[in-house]
Amino acid sequence: MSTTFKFLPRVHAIGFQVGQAVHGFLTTQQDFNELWTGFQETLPSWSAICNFPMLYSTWWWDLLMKDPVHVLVETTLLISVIYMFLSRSKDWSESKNDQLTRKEEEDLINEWKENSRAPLVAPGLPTGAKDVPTFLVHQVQGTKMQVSMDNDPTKIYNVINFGTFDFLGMSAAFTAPESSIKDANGNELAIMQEKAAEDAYNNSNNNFGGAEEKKEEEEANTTEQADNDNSNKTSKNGKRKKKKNKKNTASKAKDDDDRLTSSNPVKQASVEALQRYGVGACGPRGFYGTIDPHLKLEEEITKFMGAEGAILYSDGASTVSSTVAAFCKRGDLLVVDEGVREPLIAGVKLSRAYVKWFKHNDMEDLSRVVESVAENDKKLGRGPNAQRRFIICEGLYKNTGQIAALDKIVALKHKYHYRLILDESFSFGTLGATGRGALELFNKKLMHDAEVVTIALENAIGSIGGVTIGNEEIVDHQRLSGSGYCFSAASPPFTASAAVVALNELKTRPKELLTKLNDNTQYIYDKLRIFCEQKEDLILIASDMRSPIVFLVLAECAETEDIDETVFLSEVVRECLRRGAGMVSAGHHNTRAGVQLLRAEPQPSIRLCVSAAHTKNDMDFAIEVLSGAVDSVLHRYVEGEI
Amino acid sequence: MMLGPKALLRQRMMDGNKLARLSSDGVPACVEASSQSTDPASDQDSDDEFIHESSSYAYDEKCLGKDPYADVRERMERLAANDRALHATHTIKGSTKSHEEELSIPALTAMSTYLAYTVLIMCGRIRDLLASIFGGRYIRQPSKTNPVPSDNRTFFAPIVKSWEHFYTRRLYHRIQDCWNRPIASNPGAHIEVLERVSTDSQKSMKLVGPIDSIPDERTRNEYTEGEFYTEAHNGAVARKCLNLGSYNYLGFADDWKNTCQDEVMGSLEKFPVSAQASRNEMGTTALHRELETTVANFLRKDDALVLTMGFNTNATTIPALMGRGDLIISDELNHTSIVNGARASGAAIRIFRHNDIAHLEETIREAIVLGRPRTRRPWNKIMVIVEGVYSMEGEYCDLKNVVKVCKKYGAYVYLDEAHSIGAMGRTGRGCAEYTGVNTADVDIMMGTFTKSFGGMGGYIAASKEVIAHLRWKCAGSSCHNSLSPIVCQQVITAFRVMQGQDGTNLGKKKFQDLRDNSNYFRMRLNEMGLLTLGRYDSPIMPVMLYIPTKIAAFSRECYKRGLATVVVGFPAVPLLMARARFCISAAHTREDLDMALNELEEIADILQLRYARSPFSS
Repeated sequence: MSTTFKFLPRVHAIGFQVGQAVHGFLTTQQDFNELWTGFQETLPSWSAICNFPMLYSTWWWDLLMKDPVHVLVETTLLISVIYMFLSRSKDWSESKNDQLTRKEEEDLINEWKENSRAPLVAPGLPTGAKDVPTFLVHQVQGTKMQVSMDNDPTKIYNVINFGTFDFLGMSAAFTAPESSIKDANGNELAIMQEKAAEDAYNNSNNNFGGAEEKKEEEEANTTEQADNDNSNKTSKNGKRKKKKNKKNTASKAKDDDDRLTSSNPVKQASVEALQRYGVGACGPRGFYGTIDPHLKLEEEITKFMGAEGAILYSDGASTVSSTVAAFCKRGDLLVVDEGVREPLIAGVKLSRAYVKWFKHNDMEDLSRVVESVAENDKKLGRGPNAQRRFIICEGLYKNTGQIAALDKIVALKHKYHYRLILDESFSFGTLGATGRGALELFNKKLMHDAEVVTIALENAIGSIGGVTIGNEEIVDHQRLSGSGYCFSAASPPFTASAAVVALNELKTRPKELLTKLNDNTQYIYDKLRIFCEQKEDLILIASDMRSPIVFLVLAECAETEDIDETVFLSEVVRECLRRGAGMVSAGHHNTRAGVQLLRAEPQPSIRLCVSAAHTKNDMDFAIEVLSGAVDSVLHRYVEGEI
Repeated sequence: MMLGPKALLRQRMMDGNKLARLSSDGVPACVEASSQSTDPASDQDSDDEFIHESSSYAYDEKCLGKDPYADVRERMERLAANDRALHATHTIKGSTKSHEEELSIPALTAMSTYLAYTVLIMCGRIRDLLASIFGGRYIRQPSKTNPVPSDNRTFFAPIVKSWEHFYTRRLYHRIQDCWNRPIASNPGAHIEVLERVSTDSQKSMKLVGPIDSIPDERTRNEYTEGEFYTEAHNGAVARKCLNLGSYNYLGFADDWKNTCQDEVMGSLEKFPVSAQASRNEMGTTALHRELETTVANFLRKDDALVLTMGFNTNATTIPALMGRGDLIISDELNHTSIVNGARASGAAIRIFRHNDIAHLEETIREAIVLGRPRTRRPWNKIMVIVEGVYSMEGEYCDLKNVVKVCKKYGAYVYLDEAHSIGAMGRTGRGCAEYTGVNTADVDIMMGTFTKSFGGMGGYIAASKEVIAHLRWKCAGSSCHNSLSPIVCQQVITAFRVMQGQDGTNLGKKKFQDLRDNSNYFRMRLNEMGLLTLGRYDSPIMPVMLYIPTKIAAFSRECYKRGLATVVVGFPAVPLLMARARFCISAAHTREDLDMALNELEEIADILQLRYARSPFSS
């Protein structure tokens, strides 16, 4: 110990000497020797170092003599520690020997390849895929279309379109005059007529002109008017000639333009935009894919909805899923309706947030969920601002035709401090007095009662793309974080131009369009109620009476017990198509696909979409056809043909 | 002798002396040297193939007219052949990691980049602090007249996370004029970029509008001076620029009126803009079917499925194919849509180093041997997902070896050809054709119509069975709105032109022009000493900028000189790897490219961008 104490003050001295030595060495090398001797003096004496082992052994021997037990215990401990170290390292080396040899690896790999590897898809079609009809649309003319079914393009049926979400008749307005279809029929398409459907409408099906006349008598829908203006100007023959004769292209194209531009403003905008910009935007919005119609559309919809901003995506589905994923992150809480459509589910999945589901449109269940969260908060002693919380629902549910009870949802949301992400894709342009969606229907305020609202422009507006609206913060954030915005190409500019004009139509004559749509909706529900009664409540209406998406389901009763709903309803849809009304067999996404696309499988159903372009005749006809089809399929069921 | 990565890089840089050392048959000396050290058989056949390939790229004057690149053709073709051979050889050998080396940032540059970010972040923090005291435009003030409940911080957590928002408001917004530039013309070779101005210190950008609306004469003159001033169709102030940013590879945006207009307008007579239903309901039109047959025939696959959006094609198809108990092995640089799809699928995901076949093999082996985590049961199936051309790297996939490895281990191959379809290969059949892979060996071929075809949407081409399944299982097909029939027609017409079915050799000319333009541009960029990523024959060429301040400076300098270029920063690329990216089109002429290159030469001097020469970039 004494040496150590002696040594300590010398450290400074040694340091000083070393410094001196270095300094001296660098400046003058003359008195280096002097310094070296000085340095040597300051070192601990050599004898102290030599004596150290002796001192140590003495100290140790003393210890052993005084307290042998202590030494014994400590030595044992020391040895065991050393042993454990050594033995552990030995274990490691053993595990290295444990590794598989190349040969064994190859065996495992071959075995996997031969035996365990699953095929890319399961052999055969997914279960139930054959039951559901598939359609191929050959031409769309106003509210009518030519459709073939089940991969058989030779049989083409002329049908009235109740299958697509053309709520405001924007697409009906997009199409060419009636005359061209007659030519098409006469020239190349052999329209099949089913013997089964021998009602008065069959005759008019052969020739759309007949139906058209009746229609015009009934009422003058704007779209038809537009079509009517130039009904005789085009012919398919003319177009074909043009293709063959390239020299005439320019003048023909000009003719086309004249004809198209005179038809209706929506179509005019589309054609003009096509001529100016071509089709594709050729890049994402960030990289020169932003073309002025995109900006115009964002501006227009912002104004229309009274929001602070809008952001345009190139696809309705990715609008929804990207928006949800942009705001909801790990650790956030989402309270989601079980009946939401697939893009919302995809967004929820991508967000990786905590999800709590509530029963479809069941407000009691929703309040149960939010109350349980609040209780948990109380237990944990945290406020509602501890995490971001969202309620997610649709304004008008695509898969069930229900309308969200927004008044109750908004009340709960305010009470428990949630934000609301509302998907108005199907309610925009269909609900509310001026078509501003479910918020308008319930008299709720955007940004105040629903923070984030997504709208697909593919349904009522009849274009491509989707927008998210909200306050400035919400819109700006998505421009970098919305993956469908940031990493995907922009939508073709002509679709944005078309959407601007369609929006303008909605803005300038909401009464015409929406009153017509509401009247039609009401009319069809009235008729359907009578229809259901006629069928002795075998078929029931499953959708909300305000919804233009109509769902009809098979009632659960003794008669229908052994009927496979999907097969039965699909067969009805097929029969309807043969008789001239295009409907869709819906509500079997999960079973059909074999993967869980939707959270809760909607009931198998027949879906009809009412449009403002439909006439009363159209709807009467559809129900007549439906009635006949149900009878015939039921008959076949009883006979055991299905 | 093995060449080090730096040497490889240098080799690829144009150097007259080095060219002299190339052996006479077009195979570079260094390849011969390296082939001695490896299995001669494998190298032999790959060399043969590339000689064959390069000879097939001869310019056909009879068919295509005068060759604009006659004076540099030999040099260009040699460099391209050289590059192809290098790409093939060093990946066969395993990982020489030349690409990684390329992507890694030199220490000095990294330091200066970090320094730049430190300064930016510190300034941002100070501004935040000041804003929190004095208020500012980024602090959302609850309105007193019409209070919105979600602004109340005692009950609501902020809607955006702090770091992301910090990045947006303090870094991105300062230079946001470099992105989202709106244009007022078709996205062809020459575009009219609408001038924008910010009245709130770059928080938002507004269009300048018509020239008469500017009250200040000096500002007016600023816009009207110079050769680039123009008025857009709506009278707004615009700037004529050469477009080096759009994915208009085959130039269908430029000659749209001659090639596609008639048929597209014709389709508008028969079909609406939107089919307004999903593919499985009433959204399938005859045009969809026609397009699917066209795609399937073009790629020599049994069947195809077309969906409305390229992004969603990946994001919905991958979950339909893979699920729990499956394994997805994905290239580290794969696009977000693939990442989203893989994440949504619920399958396990492993990443392999970009284009590193040895690492891919190691990953697959390990996965098969070890099985699933925890339970150790064998995987149901394994799928390897790669892209044909990586959009931010310009690098094409080493598909031949990916397929070889996948075949060996029984993994399925999913190839995303978003950027390569139409843009690679002699007849535009994408990366598979370019690398000489039989499309039958690629299980799923995915691609988009946005880029080369000037349309929108995406396709999946695969066997009949797979497509039949996808039609039902894929959400894009069963739930989402279908592709617009009008766009279908556009793509069908574009396919016809590409395959020469329109009776002209326009398609052939487009492929030749695209390849020549790209190779010429790349050659000159390399000569300039810019650090250019990617490979010859790829139309995408990123140039590294690294330092954040150079992002804006580069973009603005280019814009000033009438070049519309794309600069890429976070989040599209890692924070340190900021770059500029050129996308070459068949519609560019040599004059256009020469003009651009001369301007770039000047910009490279001003901004010190010659990183390929030294880390000091001078």
